[in-house]
Amino acid sequence: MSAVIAVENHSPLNVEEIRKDFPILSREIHGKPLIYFDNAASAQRPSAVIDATHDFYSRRNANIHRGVHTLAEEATALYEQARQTMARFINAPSDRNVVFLRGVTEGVNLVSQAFVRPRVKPGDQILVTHLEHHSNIVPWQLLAKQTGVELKVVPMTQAGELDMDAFHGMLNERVKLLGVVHVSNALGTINPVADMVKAAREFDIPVLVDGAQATPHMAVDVQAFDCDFYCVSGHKMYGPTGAGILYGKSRWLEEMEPYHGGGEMIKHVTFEESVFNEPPAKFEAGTPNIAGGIGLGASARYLLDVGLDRIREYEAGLLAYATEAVQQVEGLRIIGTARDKASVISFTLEGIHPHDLGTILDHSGVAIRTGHHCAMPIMQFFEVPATSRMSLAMYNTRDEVDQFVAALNKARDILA
Amino acid sequence: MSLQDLYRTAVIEHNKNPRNFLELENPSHQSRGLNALCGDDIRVYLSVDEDRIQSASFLGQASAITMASASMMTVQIARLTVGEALQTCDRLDQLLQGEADEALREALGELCALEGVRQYPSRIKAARLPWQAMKAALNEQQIASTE
Repeated sequence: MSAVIAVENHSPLNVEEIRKDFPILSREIHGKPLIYFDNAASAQRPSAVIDATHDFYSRRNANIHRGVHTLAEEATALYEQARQTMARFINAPSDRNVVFLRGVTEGVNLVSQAFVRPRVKPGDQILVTHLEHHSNIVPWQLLAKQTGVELKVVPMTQAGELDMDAFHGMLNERVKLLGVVHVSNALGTINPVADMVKAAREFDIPVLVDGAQATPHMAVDVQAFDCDFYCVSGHKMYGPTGAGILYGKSRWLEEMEPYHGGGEMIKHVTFEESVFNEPPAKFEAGTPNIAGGIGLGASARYLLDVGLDRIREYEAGLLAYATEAVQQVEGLRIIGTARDKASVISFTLEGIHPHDLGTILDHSGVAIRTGHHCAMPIMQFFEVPATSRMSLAMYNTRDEVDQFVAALNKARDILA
Repeated sequence: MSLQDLYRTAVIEHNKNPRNFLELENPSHQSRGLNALCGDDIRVYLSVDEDRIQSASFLGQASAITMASASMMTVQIARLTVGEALQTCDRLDQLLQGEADEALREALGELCALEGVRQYPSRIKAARLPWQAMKAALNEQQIASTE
C-alpha cells in the first residue's frame, strides 16, 4: 500500500534541480522572489543555452559555410550539429528538412510566399482556424491581397475547441493550404493536428502547423503528424530569440522557389543568372543568426535530456492544480476550457481590468501577460477586450501557484 | 514606488463609481480613445456651446487609471471654455512628466491623484487616453489612439 502511495506522489520531474539550471529564477522583483508565469510570451533560458552562445562568441566566432580556417570550420560544425539536433527534436527524416530562420512568423511568411503564392489563383482558399495567433493570420491576408485567394476560418466552440464538424465541411478542392496552430497561445487548447492532416489529405491539401507553443511542452513528431510544414520559435522553448526553424517535406522544399535572395543560398552567380543552392541552404540567404541557432540546438538538447514526456506529465498535473486553485478566487472566469489543454490559463477577474491586475501582481513578484495576446479574433469571440494569462513552464511549482492565488486575492482587496 | 501611490484613494473611488458614465443625448462632439494593446477603449462625449463645454461624459472599458482619469476629466472640464480645457490637458501632461509646481498642483486639484503613474511608463498612456480623446473630439476626429 505504501509503495503505491509513494509511486503516486512521485513527481515525474526533479523541479528543484531544473530551477537551478535557470539563473534568472533566483531574481527578486519588488523585493519578492520572481514567479514567472509569462512563459507563453517567452520562456526563460537555462545555463546550457546561455553557455552555448557565450562559448560560441568567446571561443569559436566566425562566419559559417565560408573559409577554411579553424574557427570557420568549428562554427560551421556547431551550427550544423544544432540543425541535426533540431531534426531529432521534431523527428524529421533528415536535417535537410530543417530550415533555420527567425521563428514561426518568418516560417509562415516563407511558406505563404515561396510555396503557396505560385500555386494559387483567384477564388482558391486558405483555411486557418479561429485559434490562430496573428502570425498565422496576417501573412495569409497579405497573400489574399496579392493573389485574390479567400481566407476561410474554422470556427470554435465556447470551450475554445475547434468545431470539427464545421472543419470537415470546409474541406474541398479549392483549399490550397490548411494552417493550424498546434497549441493556442491565448487559450492553451491542443488541436488534433494528426486527425486534421489526415482529413486534409483526402483533398490533397498541404498542412502548415504553428508549433510555437507546443515544443516546450510535448514531444513533437512531424512524421507521425504527416504535416507538410511545421514552424518552431526558439525563445518559446527556452532558446534564444530570433532563432527558429521551419520543417518542410523534402519534395516541397526542392520544388519551392527561394524566399530571399543573397549569399549562401546560391551555387553560382553571374549577372545574367544564378543557380540556387539545395535546400535548406536555398532558404537561408545571408549570414544567419549563428549563435542563435547554436543556442536553439542547446535548448532542444536540454529538453530531450529532461524528457518531453516527463515534462508533459508534470505540467499536466500543475495545470490541473492551478485550474482548481484559481477557480476559488471570487469573480474569476476562465476563458478557454478545452478538454485537451497545455500550460495556459486565460481569465478575467470581475471588476479588475487586466492591466491593473498585471501591475498589482508585478508588485508581488508575479509576471503574467495581460492584453490580447496577439490573438485579437479570440478576444472578439469571447467579447472581452483583453484577458490576463498565466502560462506555466516545467520550472513552475504548486507553491508558486498558491502565492499567485494570494496575489489575486490581494488585487481584489485593492480594486474590486 | 508603492501600489498605494499608484492606486490612490481617489483613483479607486472614481474607478468604482465613475462620474458622467453615460452617453450625452445630443453631443456636439465625440470621439473614441483606443489603446488596443492594453484593451482600453472609451468614448468621450462633449456638448460645446459658444466655445464653452456645457457637459462632458464617457463610456467604455478600461483600466482603473483610464477610468479614473476620464471620470475626473468629465467633472473638471464641464463649464470650462475649450481653451481652458486644453490648458488643463497640458497641465496634466506636465504633472505626468514630473514638472508640476505648487501652483500647477492647485490648478489641477483632484487630478493630482493620477501622479503615481509617473513611475509606470506604460500606464502614463492610460492616464492620457481620455484627454487625447477629448482633443480628438474637439478636432472632429473619430478616433484617438495611443499607439
